[in-house]
Amino acid sequence: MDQQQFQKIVDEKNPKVPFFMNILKAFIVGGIICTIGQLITFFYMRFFPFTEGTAGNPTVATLVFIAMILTGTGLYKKIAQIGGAGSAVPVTGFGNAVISAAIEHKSEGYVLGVGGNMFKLAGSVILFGVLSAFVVALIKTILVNIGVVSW
Amino acid sequence: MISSLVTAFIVGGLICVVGQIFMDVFKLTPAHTLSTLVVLGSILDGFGLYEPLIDFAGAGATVPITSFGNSLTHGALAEAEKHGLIGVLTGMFEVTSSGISSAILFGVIGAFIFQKRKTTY
Amino acid sequence: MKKSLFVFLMVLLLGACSSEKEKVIFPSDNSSSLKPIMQKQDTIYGYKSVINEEDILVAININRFDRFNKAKIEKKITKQIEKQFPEKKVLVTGDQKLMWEVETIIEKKLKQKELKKSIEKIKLLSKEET
Repeated sequence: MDQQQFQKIVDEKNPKVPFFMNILKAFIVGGIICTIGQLITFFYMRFFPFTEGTAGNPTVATLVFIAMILTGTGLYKKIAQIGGAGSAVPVTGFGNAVISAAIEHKSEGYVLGVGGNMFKLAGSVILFGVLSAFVVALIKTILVNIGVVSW
Repeated sequence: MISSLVTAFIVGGLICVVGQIFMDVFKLTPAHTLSTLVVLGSILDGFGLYEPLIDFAGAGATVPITSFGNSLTHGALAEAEKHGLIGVLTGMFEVTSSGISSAILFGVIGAFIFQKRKTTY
Repeated sequence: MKKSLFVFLMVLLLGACSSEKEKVIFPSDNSSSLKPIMQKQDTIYGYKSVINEEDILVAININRFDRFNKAKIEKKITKQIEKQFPEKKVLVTGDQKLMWEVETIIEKKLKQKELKKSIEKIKLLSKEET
């Protein structure tokens, strides 16, 4: 049995990933989460002195709060099974990763358990966020200083 | 108002589709996918493209994790614009994201309130 | 199922696009020279404006797909109005929140002192950043 035959058998045995179905699910679940976010934004703009520019922060915090409730009650896991990336990419997915790790390691204490493991899953997101922010800002500042682009 | 909700749905959904494609086509883990998206958001802000997207789509652009890269880069760039190269450094220590601080806060509160389930992630 | 969802979304989208034009200038008596400027803007579908002795506030409804250029549109209209009214402070904004604030002023028909107070409040809000 050569490599090709083997590959063929592997392909047959593996369950087919329903590609377009996954994409559609991610689109709908992600879209719904963002629509809820937009409703929350409208709520903060209507009843509090937030403008379109500043309402983003309380919206994100509220969504993470909702993610906390859903994670604690085990509902977010069910949403994640349906939505795939649609539930992971919005900030609720980031919140879910942090909060679930915190709950998971609660038994080891608040310092070593919660504090130490909270960012086990989400730490790379923060690392690359800060790092890329630094690199992008550095490159752009240098380009501006030598006069290639403007602010 | 309804058109804002529809645009938020479509743009937010499309960003999630990009994430799903990273996962399914390029076989990235969720952590890799999220990191890639954050870097993408940061680069888009470097070209000055993310703010227009927020103007267009509202929460469709602020809720996905890409906005995290955008807000960090935006803070660093704002400082850099004021103080030049040294501003990049000082700006880095000033930038915050409501996503991180709220995740830490609600993570601790969640750990305090909820009991461990078999799997929560 | 998928088809019906698509049709539903399209109806929502089209329904949102054909919302009626709302163009108000408050108080209405000295609107003569502002109106022609606003009339020729093709990137907006409505505006609400408040004028007193010192300030001109214009809240604009920008067309959905022109919102990408929100900052540029605001700047452009500000310049055109400043040319016409060099002695006044001009604020043009496409922000929904400020649009609502301007609407409350018009609804309550505020006079003199209260009007000035509300205008200051709106100007402060517009300067805030994240």
